[in-house]
Amino acid sequence: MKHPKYDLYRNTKTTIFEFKSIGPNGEITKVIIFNATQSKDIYNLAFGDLIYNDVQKRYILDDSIITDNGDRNIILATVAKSVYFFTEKYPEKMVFFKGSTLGRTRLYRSAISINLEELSETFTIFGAIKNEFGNIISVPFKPNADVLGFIIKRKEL
Amino acid sequence: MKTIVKKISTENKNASVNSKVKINKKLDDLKFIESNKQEEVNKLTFNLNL
Repeated sequence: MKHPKYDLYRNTKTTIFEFKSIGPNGEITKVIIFNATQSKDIYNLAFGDLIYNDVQKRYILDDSIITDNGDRNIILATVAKSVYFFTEKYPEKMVFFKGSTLGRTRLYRSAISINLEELSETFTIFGAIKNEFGNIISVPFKPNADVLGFIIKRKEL
Repeated sequence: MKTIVKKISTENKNASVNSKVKINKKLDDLKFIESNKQEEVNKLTFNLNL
């Protein structure tokens, strides 16, 4: 994408990415994780602030925090870049993601819509909805359609 | 009276179009607590034919 992005650090498997959001509220560590789902071909993209839990001696990925660091578009472009890298490493895997709130899902929909032409060079993008049996099914991506989330599939190049 | 217009730069100097991706092996050892949302996603069943 042609937007400015932060430098990313990734783990060896290219399933965890980390970057620093830098703005008026300081330097905040953000993490993107691609987790396996019940379907072996679909990975969930989780994104949020990296918080250490002293009691459990483990990290929490908190996707509910509103950082308000004035860099929303840079963050979205950085997350999109991680999807390029993940699907470059695992081209057969699809990526599912949804916002932690309806508002954030709409924000992601808007970001996809604005950059749809460029994204479509590399990916096929679908909306994700629940059918009457509670299963997630894909529908064609529409800029104005309310959906549960999104599914991204890398095109065979 | 002079009016001073201060230009505020919206450019973030820590970001660039050609940002880099590097390996950090410390990330291999990160242990996460599963969030409620992750648990919710784990329960989702996908019925896709793409």
